[in-house]
Amino acid sequence: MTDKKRNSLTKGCLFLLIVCILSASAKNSYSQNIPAERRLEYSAGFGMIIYQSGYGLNNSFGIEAHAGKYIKGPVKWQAGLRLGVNPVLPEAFCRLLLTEKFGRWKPSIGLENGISKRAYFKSDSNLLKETREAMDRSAGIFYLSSHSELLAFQINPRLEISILEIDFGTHYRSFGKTLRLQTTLLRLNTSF
Amino acid sequence: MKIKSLYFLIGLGLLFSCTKEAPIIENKESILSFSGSIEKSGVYQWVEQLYDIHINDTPLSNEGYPPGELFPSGHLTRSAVVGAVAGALSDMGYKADTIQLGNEPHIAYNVVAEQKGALFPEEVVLVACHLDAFYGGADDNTSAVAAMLEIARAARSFSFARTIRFAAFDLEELGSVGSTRYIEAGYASDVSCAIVMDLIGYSSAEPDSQKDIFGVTTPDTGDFIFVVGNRNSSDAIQSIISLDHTASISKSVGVIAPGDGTYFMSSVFMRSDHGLMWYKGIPAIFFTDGANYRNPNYHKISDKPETLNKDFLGNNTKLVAAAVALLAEIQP
Repeated sequence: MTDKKRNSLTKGCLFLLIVCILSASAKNSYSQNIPAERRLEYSAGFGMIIYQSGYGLNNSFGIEAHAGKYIKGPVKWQAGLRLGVNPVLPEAFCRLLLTEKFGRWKPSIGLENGISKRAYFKSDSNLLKETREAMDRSAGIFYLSSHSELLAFQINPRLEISILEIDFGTHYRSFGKTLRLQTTLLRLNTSF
Repeated sequence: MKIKSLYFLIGLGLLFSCTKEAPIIENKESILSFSGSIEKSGVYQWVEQLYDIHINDTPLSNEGYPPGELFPSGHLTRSAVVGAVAGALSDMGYKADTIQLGNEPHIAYNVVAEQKGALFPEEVVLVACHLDAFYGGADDNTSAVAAMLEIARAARSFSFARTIRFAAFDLEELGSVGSTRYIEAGYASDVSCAIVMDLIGYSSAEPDSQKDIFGVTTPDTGDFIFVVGNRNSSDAIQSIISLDHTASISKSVGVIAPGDGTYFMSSVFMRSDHGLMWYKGIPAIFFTDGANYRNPNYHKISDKPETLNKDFLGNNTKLVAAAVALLAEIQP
């Protein structure tokens, strides 16, 4: 990935975060009248993705953006995109979460299903390259992971902040042979 | 300190202790008869011969593989040994094939020969090692190639239920290139179990000569052979270790990697041609003296025949032969 592309991606990430903050702080009488459980939520976050297989370990910073909505009671869905900063290796995902609110504290846990190019390692080394590629081909692209937002807090009726979210998962076709660990360091969530 | 403790805990999880009942081994006499037919002197003669071939061969191009610590990529040889191994197998009466896979600058030449099974010829027990070596590579991996050739020689006088396929893989030192291409091309689809050998001839009676392997606590004295497996090969490991301990063939320590052995923290045990086999679900057993965790000559010009323990190498060859007879079901 070129420096130019990386800079563009970083700017895109910052832009998404700023949009979330501004839209959350803006007055919007229309959305204020809609019950929270009926609003569409938008989130943007920044975190670290660690991915490992038998002969390889990759890690990179990444950004993600997703939308979500309550389905019934404490159950809500989310769907979004995630991009690594370098390498990019895009992912698309959907989640089913259980959310509860205790004052300002709003923890969620659930499952994430996704499609990822992250099974395919990028390495400058030729050593074990063909073996890693053979393993990558076995891994496929679909993954399953747990998702937990234990440090999520409601700042105001339209803005949530969440830190240190943990996703822990593996690829379906190589269940247990690959490991995905994703830590979302900071995520902002706003609703309309 | 914390890291060491973590490794120690992982090691406890990895190190296998035989808590199950000893497995019942059928046809033990025939297995030991085959093992006993291995000639230790013949194994060492092969080491000396193949070492000389390596040391006088022209190194391969190391294009794309810059040299590094313990990776003298400019000193890898194999061309002459490919012909020598194929010739030796042919001389024993095998139909030896040299399977050419991949493209320049690193075409892999895998040498393969089979002894057909009498009852289940479609079930294959693969007996494999790599034939490429840095410098002369007496321990790495001429010791294993010599063992394979001696077992192949002995096998001609016996009958087995399953097919035994002897395979000398090329370019393991560049990252299991030969075996990976062999598996990916579908040649291993009929393998029911594999035995892979990589460095089996170095021992030391000195205290602290055996280093712990990535946190796995091992005996301090490097005078034993590791027999490494995973969930898929754990029963076979149990039987081999039991056979060794009851018949005093060699001195072995069994290690079962957790699960299928392909987790990142246990990937140190995937460091040879069996690694991708584990990943693909092919049961595979790995014999090794521990490589750089024991042998100070690992990947150095000092890896010479005289540094090997002839008796240890011979006994390990007998143990591998016993494992072959067990898995291929030697006929009475």
